[in-house]
Amino acid sequence: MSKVSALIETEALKKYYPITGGILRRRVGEVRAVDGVSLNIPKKKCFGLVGESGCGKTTFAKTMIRLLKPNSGHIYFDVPEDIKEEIAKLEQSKNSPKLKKLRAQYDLATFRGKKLKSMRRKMQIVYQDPTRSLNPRMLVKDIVGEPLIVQKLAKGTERRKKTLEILGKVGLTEKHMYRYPHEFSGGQRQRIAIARALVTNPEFVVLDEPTSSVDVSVRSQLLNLFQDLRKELGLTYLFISHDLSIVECIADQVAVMYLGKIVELAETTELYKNPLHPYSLALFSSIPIPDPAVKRKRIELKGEVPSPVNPPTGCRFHPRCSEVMELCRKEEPELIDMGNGHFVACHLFHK
Amino acid sequence: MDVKSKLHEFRLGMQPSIDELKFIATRIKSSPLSIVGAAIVIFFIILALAAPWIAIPGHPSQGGNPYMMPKFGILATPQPPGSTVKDNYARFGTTAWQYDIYYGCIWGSRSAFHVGIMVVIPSLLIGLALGTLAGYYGGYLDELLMRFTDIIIAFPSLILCMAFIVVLVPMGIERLDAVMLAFVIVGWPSYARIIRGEALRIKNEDYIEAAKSIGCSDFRVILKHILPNSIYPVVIMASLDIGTIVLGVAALTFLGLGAPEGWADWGQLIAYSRNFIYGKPTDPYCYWYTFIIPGLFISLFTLGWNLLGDAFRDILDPTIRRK
Amino acid sequence: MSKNLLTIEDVILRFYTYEGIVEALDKLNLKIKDGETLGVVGETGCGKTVTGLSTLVLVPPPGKIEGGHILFDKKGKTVDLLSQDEAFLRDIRGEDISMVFQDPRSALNPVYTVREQISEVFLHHRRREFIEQVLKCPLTGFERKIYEKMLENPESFTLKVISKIPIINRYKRKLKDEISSEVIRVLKEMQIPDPERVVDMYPHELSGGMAQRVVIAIALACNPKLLIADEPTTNLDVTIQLQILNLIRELKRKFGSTIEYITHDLGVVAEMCDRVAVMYAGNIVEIADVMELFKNPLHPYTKALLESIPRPGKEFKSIEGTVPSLINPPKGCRFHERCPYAMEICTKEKPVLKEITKKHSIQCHLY
Repeated sequence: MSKVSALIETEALKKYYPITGGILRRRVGEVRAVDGVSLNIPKKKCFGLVGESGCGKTTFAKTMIRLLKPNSGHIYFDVPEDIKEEIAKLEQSKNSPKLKKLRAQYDLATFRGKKLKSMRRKMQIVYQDPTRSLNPRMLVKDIVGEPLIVQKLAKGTERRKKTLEILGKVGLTEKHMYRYPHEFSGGQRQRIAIARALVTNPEFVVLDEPTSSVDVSVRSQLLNLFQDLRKELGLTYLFISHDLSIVECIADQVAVMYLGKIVELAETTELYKNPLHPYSLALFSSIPIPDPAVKRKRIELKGEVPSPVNPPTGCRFHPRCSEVMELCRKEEPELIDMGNGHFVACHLFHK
Repeated sequence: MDVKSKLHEFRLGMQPSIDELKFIATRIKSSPLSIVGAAIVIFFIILALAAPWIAIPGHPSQGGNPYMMPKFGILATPQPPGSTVKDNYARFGTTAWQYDIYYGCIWGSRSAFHVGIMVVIPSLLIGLALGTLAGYYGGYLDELLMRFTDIIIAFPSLILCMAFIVVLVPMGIERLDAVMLAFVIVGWPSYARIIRGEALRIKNEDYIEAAKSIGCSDFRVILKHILPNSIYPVVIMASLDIGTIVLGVAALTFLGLGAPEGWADWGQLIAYSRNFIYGKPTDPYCYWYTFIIPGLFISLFTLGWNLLGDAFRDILDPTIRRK
Repeated sequence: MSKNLLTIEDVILRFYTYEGIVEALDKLNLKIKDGETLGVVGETGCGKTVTGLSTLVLVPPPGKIEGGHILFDKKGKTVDLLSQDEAFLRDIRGEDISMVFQDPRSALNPVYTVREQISEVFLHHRRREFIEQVLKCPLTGFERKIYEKMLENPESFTLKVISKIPIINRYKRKLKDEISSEVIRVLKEMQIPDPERVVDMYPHELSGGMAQRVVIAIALACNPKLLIADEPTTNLDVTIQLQILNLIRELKRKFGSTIEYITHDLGVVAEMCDRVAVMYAGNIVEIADVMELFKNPLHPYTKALLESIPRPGKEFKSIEGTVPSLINPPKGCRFHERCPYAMEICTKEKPVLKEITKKHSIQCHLY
């Protein structure tokens, strides 16, 4: 991974959901939503995460900002390289007490209580559906002002001023403050959600399919807003989407996820021009192009996405892969560096 | 901020609530039954408030307590409406042992509100608290609570109430207080169940997770996010319950376990009519006023609250709302 | 010269709501030719879904169709769907015109299996054929008499009574078996793998793509002439979308159905459609052949829509303003408030749909 300063980095992050069954509700299996994802998101960049439903991208993002507790792995938020290296070394040598201390201090995966709460100021999330992510019984000014109260950042007039300020940045005015969410259009509601996310001056914002629930014309307005805000406030984004054409325009780097694992990662232009993994190839080829004159060769994938409860052995994509080899059924491929910041997890590219 | 801008902000803040109220008023106006329900309830409220002036206390037999019905004489047989007993005018007649029906009915509405509110509000609060905690936290707390409510709900409520009253009164608690306490104990599980269901539904909503993502404590999430969104079904149930509770107390009083002797309570009035429901063989309904008049008061009161509760449900049910 | 299968003429649709009267469709005019795939594009609230629902006369209250005609060519005879009674319309729905909905999960009844839901279509429309087929099989005397009775007098009271009696009504099984084999055949057409297993599943056990295939199966079971597809792939993953689009194309080739494809995705339109109609706020503002529309859009709204498609490296273009409320729609042309070319006349008079070339019609004062 490149050594450009990462704002947030995960190492082998895993999130499993237990499945209980039987009378005594014992654990009979688990849903491996996120199964060992290591990602490095550089400061002030927009990182795109794509994949289809069930691949784990939302679970990963929520685990990354500790809305969910990871089962294992590390999350480093703005932690210097040498500390990360030291933790890695300590893990090798299994030095327990010092490891525990360091992790408690630097590894977001282990934070609890007050420490975790203070971190929340710096990481925020904007959800897909603004109708569901805003409390229908709260006024806009309370929705947007609540983070300031909870994080004890501002009181009274100061809070009112900050609320107004952030609403102004997303294009809303004072008269919008005293209304309920249902009185607004979809695009405006999403702006309210964005204002709520930005009011604490975070450094990192997860955008979970923020434009999927709104109209095409509103979409562009919101995307422009995201870009302007990023430049103005120096934010770092994790942009999750299943709409590949939007990600192409807004992200600097893109990672493709399949069944809880990253299968390919590269800079945007590189990835869209030259996808290597068979899944990425199929994915990109299935985007309909709004130009009837262009006829593209389409790769139609057979079958359905398998369930993350019992993922296929070896490479998870092998049952649907047109280039499947014997090795693919047995061994899981690691992410290989193809140069130029382009990584693929596929046995086809084993040197 | 100076006073003027504070007022301005207050007014702005109130605007959406005012719009909501206007919408509710329009919905009430559009349904004639709701208007009837509201009218009945308002009528009883006025009756209860005006009791000291409409039915003046101060009769020596009351012993200084205006909630006791004045006893006009000692005869067992009820006297018809309009008759005068020992210089006391009984507008609605008297019951067995000469209690004034008119006075009993008017002050009975005070009793009814007293009992209704004193039972419903604590049940509501206990049910809210326990139900929300059970629904939100789930796990063993939820299981424990639900088994507890299962036990209480399994019994027929009135019989369980009687059991509790029989236990509580010898402990030194005043009779009417024991009745109310018994109803609260038997009543809170229904509220708890409803709120628990709502809490279960709401806790999976995105905005709850969003609240946690900004660092809200569980307490704040429950208070500010879950409760305001889950309270409507409970409000509806509460208004329906007020009528039901009064009926229940009346039933218990009829059986002798409710309000004490001579207390101005509709059920008490009907209890006194027990032996006179079937009057003389030649004239079976000659004592109709002893049970029909208080009965009318009870039915009307319950009807009013039921209609109002239905109206609330039609107005407040988010699935039916136009928004 | 292919003739028009469906002609929507001057249809006015209004919704009577608490907030006011929503002018959903404003004298809509649309012609769908036999055998073509017509795309209807527009944003949320432009009226494309209610156009589809109006064709089936299935607009839910408080909506009322108040004017205009919907002429459908039923086996050579032209009928005005708006002046037919409910029984006639029930026959047409499913048999001649079918609809595929956006969310397959909510389009399927969760308490019935796939078999039961597809059988329902056959039971309603192809009952006679199936009964005749049953009569060709070996039957007991009793069963034969019942089926013959079903053919000659389906509404008979005795039949109704017998069909409710528990053990005796086992005769129904023969009919159900006949229909079942047809159901499985239909599922195979939909390229559903392992149809014998899928047929007994409940909707919640199916994945999104499978569920949508079942919905399409229900719609195409009786081979209708017109299929109205209301955003059938919007809720699906992009690789599944490709599967479904390929399937629809294949089925169209096989059965020759006419398709009215409603969507907001211009990419899908470019893939699937022969002609495209662009809708805005209850009006059709432009209709053209698909190549023509993308190469040479004339209406300012169409131009803006095409420009707002995200392209890498360029800024996102959006359309100024928001979709107007249809409760008090703007006078004249409904787009004038957001139109960069708006003129005086646009605020006063509503433009008429004019044919510029054979392949291109537009509703705008600029032309």
